[in-house]
Amino acid sequence: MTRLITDEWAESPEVSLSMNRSSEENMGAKKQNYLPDLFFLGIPVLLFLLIVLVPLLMSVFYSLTDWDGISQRFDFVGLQNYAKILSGKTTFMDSFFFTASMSIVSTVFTVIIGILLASALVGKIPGKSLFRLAFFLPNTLGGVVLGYVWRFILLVGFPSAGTRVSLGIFQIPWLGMPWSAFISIATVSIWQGVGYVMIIMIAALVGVPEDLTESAILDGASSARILFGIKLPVCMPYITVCIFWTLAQTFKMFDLNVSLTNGGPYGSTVSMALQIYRDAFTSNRYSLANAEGVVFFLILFAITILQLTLSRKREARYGV
Amino acid sequence: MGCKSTNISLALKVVLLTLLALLFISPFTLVLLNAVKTQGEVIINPFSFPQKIQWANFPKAWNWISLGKSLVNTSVVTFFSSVLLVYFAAKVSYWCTRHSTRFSRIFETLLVSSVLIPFSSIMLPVVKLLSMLKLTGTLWGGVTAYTGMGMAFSYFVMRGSAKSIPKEIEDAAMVDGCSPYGIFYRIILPLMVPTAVSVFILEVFWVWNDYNISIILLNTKFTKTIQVTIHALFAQTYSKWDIALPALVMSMLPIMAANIVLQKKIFAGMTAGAIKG
Repeated sequence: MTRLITDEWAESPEVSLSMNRSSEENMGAKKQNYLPDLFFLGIPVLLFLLIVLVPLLMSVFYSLTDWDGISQRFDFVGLQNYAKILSGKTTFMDSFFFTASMSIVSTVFTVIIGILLASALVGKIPGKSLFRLAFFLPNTLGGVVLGYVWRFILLVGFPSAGTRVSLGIFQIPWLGMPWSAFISIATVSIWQGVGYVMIIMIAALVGVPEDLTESAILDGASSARILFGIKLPVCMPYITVCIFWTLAQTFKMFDLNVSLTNGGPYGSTVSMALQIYRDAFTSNRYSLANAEGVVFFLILFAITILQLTLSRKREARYGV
Repeated sequence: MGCKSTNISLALKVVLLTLLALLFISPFTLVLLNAVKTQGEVIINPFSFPQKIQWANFPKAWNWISLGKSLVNTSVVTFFSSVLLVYFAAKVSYWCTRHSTRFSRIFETLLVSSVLIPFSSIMLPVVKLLSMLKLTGTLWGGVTAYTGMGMAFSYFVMRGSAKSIPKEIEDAAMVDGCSPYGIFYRIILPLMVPTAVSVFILEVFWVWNDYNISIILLNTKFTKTIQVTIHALFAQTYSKWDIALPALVMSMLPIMAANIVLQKKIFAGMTAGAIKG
């Protein structure tokens, strides 16, 4: 039995190619042997088709119709749904601007704070792993749970503190006004994201070769200068990863919105994911929700492409 | 003198970090503190210590939302999704890095470029397809969706491990007459175990904490996950803190404990994912 499979194995395209490069007969053998392909890729390909690729194509298809998701028939309406979204007749553009600004604000702070924490936690610090654990803890919990923890803090803790000490910070309705709700969500998102950046950057900073910093230390450069002048530039590939990871995570924000503000006040904190969810399940605008989904996908796809291009460019230039 | 000043700056750094760390975990501390108080005590002063520790809050909250049921559901979905993800990612990463054909390259490209795809973009057709397969409202529907959605990322992390396995080992086994299946199970898979464990843990955290997929596919009476349950609880019992807070604590405890025990593995997995193959 083993023997048999081995024979088939020897005929698989790569092996046969290297064994018998010139033989034309291999073209025939190549066709027959899909068994290993099927074994290794079969179910993953099926799952990928079922959950990712076919749904994506279906999304595009439905986005070109006026289907409400229930009725028997529907008509093609071309790009009407997209025109509706982009012309600002729906609230999707509002959710886009909210999501984009939320994403940028929280990415900037998350990455900066994460890098600073990482640089503070590299080297000889007593209780290092305890510190790492504390800063990383919010990152391991789900957005719903974190959101409700903060809901309690902001709705019960802060007002109660406000009656004791007259500090302005405790008297603001942190979930009650558009600008304060924005800050609240951003804060929780930064609090959640910092741990990831910290862990990646610790690994990056530890990996910086010592001979790079040696001469600078001998020259008496301050540790801040060494960090910003030598270490961080060397760690740029990791910083790029952190930036794009955080950007993508915050662009997809859904659970924090739902649990902290549920989109309020006055719909000012509805993220794109929440907007699509509502259009699909609350307002029954099925085809519109599909079009929004496609736009959402294109934005994240653009982010992926941007990241890939940036890291390719760097690879070409520095070989990293 | 120089030594003294570094000592002082180190002490300062540790004090600052300690304060910051305490601030960081203070939301959890406050929730924990108030989870064992009566509703009245919580409202009057959330910063006071409980007059008497209300352990009874926990069983009350547990029964109120039938947390046991959602714990079981979440565990089942999380376990099977993570196991399948690791197993499939190992297979795909081995086959695509070692035996690339035109077909596998196309699949690889599609898979990698789908790594950031938001579930919201495709959820409506996914619901439709899964209901055609009679999988909606079952835990298996959830497992299917998580496995499909998580494949790209798992593959991303596993690929590095697959590439680092020396080709000579495989060649030697092949010469000895080992089938590709034998090579995979007896040689490749055991060598991938360290990375596989990290991926498994990352996926466990992802599935356990996910709300996006579970609210859409597992939001029924029988398949409710922890995240869905917690959300429903807070939406219903607006300010019954003596139920909501203990429930919150109980939902956080397993993951916090896992975090403490598995810290090293988690960090290793995350770093592997960032460096890529």
